[in-house]
Amino acid sequence: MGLLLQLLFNGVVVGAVYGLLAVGFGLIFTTTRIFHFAHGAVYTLAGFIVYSFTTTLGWPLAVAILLTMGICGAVSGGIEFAIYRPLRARRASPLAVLIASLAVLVLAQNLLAIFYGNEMRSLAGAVVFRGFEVGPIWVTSIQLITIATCAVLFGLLKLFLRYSRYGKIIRALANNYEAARIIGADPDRTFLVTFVIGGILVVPAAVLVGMLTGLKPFGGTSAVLVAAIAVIVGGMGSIMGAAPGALLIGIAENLAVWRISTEWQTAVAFTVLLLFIIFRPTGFFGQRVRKTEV
Amino acid sequence: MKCNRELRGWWGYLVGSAMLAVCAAALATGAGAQTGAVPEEYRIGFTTPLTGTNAPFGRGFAETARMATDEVNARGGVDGVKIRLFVEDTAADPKQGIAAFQKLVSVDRVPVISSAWSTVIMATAPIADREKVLLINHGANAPSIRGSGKMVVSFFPLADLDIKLLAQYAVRKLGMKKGAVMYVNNDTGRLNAKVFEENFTAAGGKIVAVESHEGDAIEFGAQAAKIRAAQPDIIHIPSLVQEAPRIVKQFREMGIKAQFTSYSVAESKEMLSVAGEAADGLLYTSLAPPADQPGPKAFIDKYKAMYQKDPVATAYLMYVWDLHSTILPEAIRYAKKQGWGYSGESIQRAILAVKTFDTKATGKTAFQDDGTVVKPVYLKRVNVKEKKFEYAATLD
Repeated sequence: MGLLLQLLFNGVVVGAVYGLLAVGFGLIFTTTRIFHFAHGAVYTLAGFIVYSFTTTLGWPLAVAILLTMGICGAVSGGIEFAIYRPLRARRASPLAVLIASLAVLVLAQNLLAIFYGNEMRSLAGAVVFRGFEVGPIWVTSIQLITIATCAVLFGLLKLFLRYSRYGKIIRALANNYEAARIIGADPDRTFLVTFVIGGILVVPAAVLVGMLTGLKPFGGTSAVLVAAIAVIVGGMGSIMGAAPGALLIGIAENLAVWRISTEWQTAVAFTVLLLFIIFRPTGFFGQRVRKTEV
Repeated sequence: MKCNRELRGWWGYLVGSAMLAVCAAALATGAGAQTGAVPEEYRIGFTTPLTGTNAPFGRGFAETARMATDEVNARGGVDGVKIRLFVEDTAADPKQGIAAFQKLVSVDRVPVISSAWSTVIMATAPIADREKVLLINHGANAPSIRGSGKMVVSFFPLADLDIKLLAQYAVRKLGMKKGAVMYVNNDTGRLNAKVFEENFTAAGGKIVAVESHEGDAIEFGAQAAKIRAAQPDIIHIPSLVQEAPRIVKQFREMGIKAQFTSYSVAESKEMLSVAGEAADGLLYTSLAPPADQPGPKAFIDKYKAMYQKDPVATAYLMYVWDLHSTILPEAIRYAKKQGWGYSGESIQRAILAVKTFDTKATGKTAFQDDGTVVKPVYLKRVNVKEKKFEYAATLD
């Protein structure tokens, strides 16, 4: 029983980190209908920029995070501005946009590998995080920080979407693109804001992963795949649905190893995806999609 | 005229026969003739990668073999007869390894070939058997080398030796009762884990958890949870250079207090820079004696003086050094004394008859009847406070 609770708790921590990435990905997808695989590139870049600022330049972590949020927001917005917007203007098919996004992901990761080398990097250096027992569960300080950070950021995003002007426009565009345009929503500007927010949200995810485990130049691919699965499981069309989707994947991955060998862990997320596609294609909160193209 | 023509024909036969006889004699001065009588020189072949990604190591191997041969010859060779080394490139590739081997056998006529890289040894072992050439391994460690050919002798310890001794040491000397293994899911990791499990159990311990990870994994929380629940006294981690420090760190963060063990991958700068205090006290096996001991130090100093650079992969170079400066000259001398001559079979017979050699750089050598070797295995400890890898014990 102790092991089961421990695995459940570990799953919540892993799911929370997945959630940060997935919510950004979901926000962009739901609003713009772009399967933004380059989100993985921005996420990887974020980790390595923070690494350079803190380890190479020796700057304080808080300063590094704030600066990196600015850089990654700009990079993410830049991808929309320089790649997706011209493609949209040319009425490119969703498939062409998807391939362009994949190209950015592959290019960025390779450039990072050339610049930083293929080795793993750790943002925690040689720091070993302390832990303590809560009943049968072992909890570490960084795990608690992870859960708290994710809860705060999800809350802030929810408030932004509900009460801010841009939040309302984003929701309107996500709900009904044509109707939102009729009442005066500016898609280009709103999309740019969405990409910038998505870019900012990857920074805490990258920092937490860099602290908990480590950074790899090619780590973005698997991360963005999990984010995409979380969005599908959470329900396409639901902006915040990606969060419970990510939590479910994190918990499923960890609970599964209670009985099966850990070497099959990576297959669990895809099993969850298949089960949802077969039995509940609309995910947790998604509405029935009449027609969608990729 | 007719007579002259007949005479010329006879001369032709005579000259032809004489040439054949000379050729036969010339051939006989090769491998065949080196049996029985004392040859003019003792020819030894040496194959190593001189091109390709492994070339930096291979060049060091060849340099060491030359240095050892020169030193033996400077001392007067083997009872006045010099040793001559023939070096060929394998590129660490089995196909090129076969070509190099055949060139050494058929052109250079060497009866003994010293080689490394497991795939190259495995590929050339059948040819060694066919040609009756002694193939002696100075650096490959795949356990499948054992029994790969009748003419194969392994001076380099095979991968199962150090982990076997480590598992026995853990139970008998450290008093560990419950063991766990966390291995990387590839051939090396699986084999290493299997040897540890079998020997830990055979020595009286009990394996309570076995977990694995994929080669590029970075998150080990689930494995940590399962191993923690099993409450082992000791956790053996045959992983990789980049992953092992992260496993050590994440396991300690998960509140696991068990003793960690590993093998030579633990001796990396990442173990100190990533795992930090979590790695303190980790015990691991090494086939290289500590560099500050007299034997290894003498070799390293000689190498530096000769080539004006630091040796790379020093542990392996020490094996090449001991093989070419001690074992082969002594075996040749023994075979000569016994009147066995110089051939692949006679040198193999001599090595297995002498059995123990006082090899200075790598520590005492004892050959087994199956052609493998028993060497002292060094147990080292990670000392995080002093940022060093220190000698802990010798396992034998």
